[in-house]
Amino acid sequence: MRFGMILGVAVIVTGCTQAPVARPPVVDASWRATEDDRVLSRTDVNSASSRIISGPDRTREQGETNVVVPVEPIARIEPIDQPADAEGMSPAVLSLLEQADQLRTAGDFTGASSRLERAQRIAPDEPEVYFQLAGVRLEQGRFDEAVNIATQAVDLAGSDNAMKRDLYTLVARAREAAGDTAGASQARQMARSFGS
Amino acid sequence: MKSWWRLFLKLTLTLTVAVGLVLVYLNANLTKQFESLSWAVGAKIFARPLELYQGAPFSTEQVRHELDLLNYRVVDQLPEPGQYRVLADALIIGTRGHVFPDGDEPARRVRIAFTDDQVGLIQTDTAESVDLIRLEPVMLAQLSGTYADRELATLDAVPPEFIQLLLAVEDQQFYEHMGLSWTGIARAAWNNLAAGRFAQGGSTLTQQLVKNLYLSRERTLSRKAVEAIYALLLDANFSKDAILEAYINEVFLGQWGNRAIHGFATAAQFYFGQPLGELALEQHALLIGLVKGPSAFNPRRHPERALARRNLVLDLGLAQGLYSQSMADQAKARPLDVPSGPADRIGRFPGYVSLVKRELTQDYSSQQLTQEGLSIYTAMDPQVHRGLIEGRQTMLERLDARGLDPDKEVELGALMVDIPTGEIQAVVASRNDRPGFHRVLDARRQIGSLAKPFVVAAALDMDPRLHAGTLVRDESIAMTDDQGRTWSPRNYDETEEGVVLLERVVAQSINQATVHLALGIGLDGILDRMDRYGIPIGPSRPPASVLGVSEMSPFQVASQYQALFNQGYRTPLKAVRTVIDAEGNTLTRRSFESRRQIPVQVAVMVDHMMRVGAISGTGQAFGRRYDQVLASKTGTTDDGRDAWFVGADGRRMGVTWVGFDDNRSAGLVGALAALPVISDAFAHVGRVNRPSALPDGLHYVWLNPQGQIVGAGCPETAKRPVPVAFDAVPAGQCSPSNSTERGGAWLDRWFGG
Repeated sequence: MRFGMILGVAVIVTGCTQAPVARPPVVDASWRATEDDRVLSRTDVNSASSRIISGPDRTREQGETNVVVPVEPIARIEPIDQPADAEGMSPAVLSLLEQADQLRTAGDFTGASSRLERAQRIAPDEPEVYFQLAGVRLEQGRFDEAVNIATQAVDLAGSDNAMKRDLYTLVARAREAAGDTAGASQARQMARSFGS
Repeated sequence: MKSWWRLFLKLTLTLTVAVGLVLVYLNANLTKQFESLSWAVGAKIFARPLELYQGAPFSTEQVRHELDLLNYRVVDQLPEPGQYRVLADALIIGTRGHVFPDGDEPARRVRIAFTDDQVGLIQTDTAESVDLIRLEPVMLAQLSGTYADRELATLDAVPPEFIQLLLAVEDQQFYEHMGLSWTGIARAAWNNLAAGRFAQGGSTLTQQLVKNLYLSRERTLSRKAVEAIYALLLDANFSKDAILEAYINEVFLGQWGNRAIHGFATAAQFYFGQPLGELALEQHALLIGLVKGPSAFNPRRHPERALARRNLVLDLGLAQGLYSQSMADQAKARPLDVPSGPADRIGRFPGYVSLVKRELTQDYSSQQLTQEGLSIYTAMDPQVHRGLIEGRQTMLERLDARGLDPDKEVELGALMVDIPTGEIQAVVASRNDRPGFHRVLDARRQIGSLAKPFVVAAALDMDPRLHAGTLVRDESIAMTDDQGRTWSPRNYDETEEGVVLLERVVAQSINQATVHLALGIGLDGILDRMDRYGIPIGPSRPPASVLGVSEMSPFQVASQYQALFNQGYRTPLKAVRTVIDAEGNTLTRRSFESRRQIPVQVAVMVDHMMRVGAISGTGQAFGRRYDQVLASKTGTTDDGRDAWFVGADGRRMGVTWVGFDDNRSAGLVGALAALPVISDAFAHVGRVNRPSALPDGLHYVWLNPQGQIVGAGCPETAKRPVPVAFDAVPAGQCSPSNSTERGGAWLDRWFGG
């Protein structure tokens, strides 16, 4: 689809109260997210070392107006990057996980799933619950579901690297079982990146 | 002479054979019908059971509300099943127990402590602590082709005192006669003679059962004869206990609208909201008294007559020596204690029940649903429903106060969803719960600004440099499409600011900036992604899709927002958890599944912007009123035809649509019209915070009010955290802020302190 556009002219907006304040670029209809301006050089007249910039992998593209990315970015707020205090699992969740484990060992996958889903309702952010559920799906031969659930759990695992490793290992096993060898080895690599 | 004799013999023989054949036929027919009788039970639909465990986010008040819904009685001594006792900081509950699809929950007495509106320690009689208990679920409806509810009771579940009293009143010779009582017939015949017409039948229980099951209501002598034959056949074919059990489950005991109340167990729920086994003597007497005339002795319509009849029944039992004089006197002294409406909860949740039926019609025939005694366990949460109903009330009162078009009634559809599981907890399909058009499922309306978070999500996905503080141009813009039509969207309030922060495009729903963003990033890519995120774009791909010309139902809107609020993982919305058959076999189990629909980093960033919307944008009444972590998005379409509101806390989300069914202009604004429905629902169930770690690939940086990234050294009043997807160094300065907001306060608001 083609559009003729009548646009306001792109202007550089300067700081309101302070003298020269570097600004992030203004996104408007004329702005194109092409490789060329990935580092926003065109609209960036006022470039200073204190500017919004792109990730380290793109520093190769830097031109005169670009900014060198420091190795240790200092704008990160570390404390709130950490998972909210990891208080232990509630006895209710532990008890349900235990029951699920027994049922799974006995081959009652429906019973195990039902306990795990009850646990999920109580603790929807607990990666262990998802890990167990993905494990049951794997044993049931529902490989896609196992991979999906484990993938979601990775994003809940925060900085728990051991959990992430276990989850990727499970993903690898599920993909292997489903015949996706390339995907499996990719997942194994991810697992290894979280330690052995 | 001889030939006459022969003819007589022949005739007699023929007649005997004919009568015999008819009897055989009747017998076979009757036997078959009687045997299939116990199966004609409509599917029961249950709410979710309330799960209690240490740390469960329920106050005493909330648990008591659930117990009241289940018609538990408050007592001052140790509670029996169906009763509870209130202590200063605890409840002692005599649970009824329930057979769940995944196992039995035993009836037991538990003490539940409460601290700070949370469940504390749970202990049994013997002071053992219990990890988890489930109350039995509230029954929402029973599906039946004939509107006949039936709560079946097996004979051993009926208290023996009840049976004794029933027989004392209705059929003293039940265990002796052959289906007919000659003394009864003689007495009836005498009375009929005396009255000069057919006025009375000396019916045994068996005859009453036959009459209820197989015969019309007219009172003729021939019908009486057929009834007698049937009664004899039934008695010959089946045991007394089987007949008694059938009677107990079949007898007609009342009518409510189109609900017919059959059987004592159903009546116990209908009149008292309790299982038969929990009833007291005077309640037994009331139900047994109803047999003689459910409408004449209706305790709701004719309380005096019902009371007199009940006390007469108590006298009959006393005369038979079933209990002592003092017990009878005590029972007679008690009031009727029947609520004005049905004591059970059936019929109160029509919106949710039709959703359940819709989910099941693909897999089940109506025959299965109405006759095979299925049990359907759902995720319906009566507490959330109560909140939604209160929200609806607030909204309707507010609209009515504004004198909105008195001829036509503003309608609405609203639903609440548990974000991590996709379970639908409550549904309101109309303003008055009358059956008909289901606006949550079937009203497809333009979504307006509800599209914006998906436009921004698409943009964030296409360019990882974008973040909440990115500046977006907000100036008039016109486009001409392939057909030469010019399209020039305006901002809702007809103002423009020149340039706005990206987060405010979402939070304050700015149309022109949305178009600048979409065109600047690349319209094709934006539309492709929106379609993938579940916003239907259609083959003609109108650019106005970014401003929400797509038509969706509240259910569809909730489906797509669920993924946005759930870190990009979409779980299909569902009402039904499990369906089991009458023998307890699981027929359906809808297990948890999820699929990545939106990149996790993108979803988290947009979620964050919607939280800004709740705190300072169009949804601010929502955020401020309850001062809690809530993300929101409002939507309003041209001329206020549709008002939308989407709101979420850490656990649940709600979607409301408000408008007219005929798509007329209503002058509605999303924030004003649709917001209260959801905000009241949240106020009711209480806030749930769900602090979670940022996913890999995102981290927080500080932003100053101008949207620039600043260092940690800036004072707290001049910075707030936003998640970004790139590494960054501080660029902006610590500019003075007119905001009194401390950085820490922002954090508190997002994470609930």
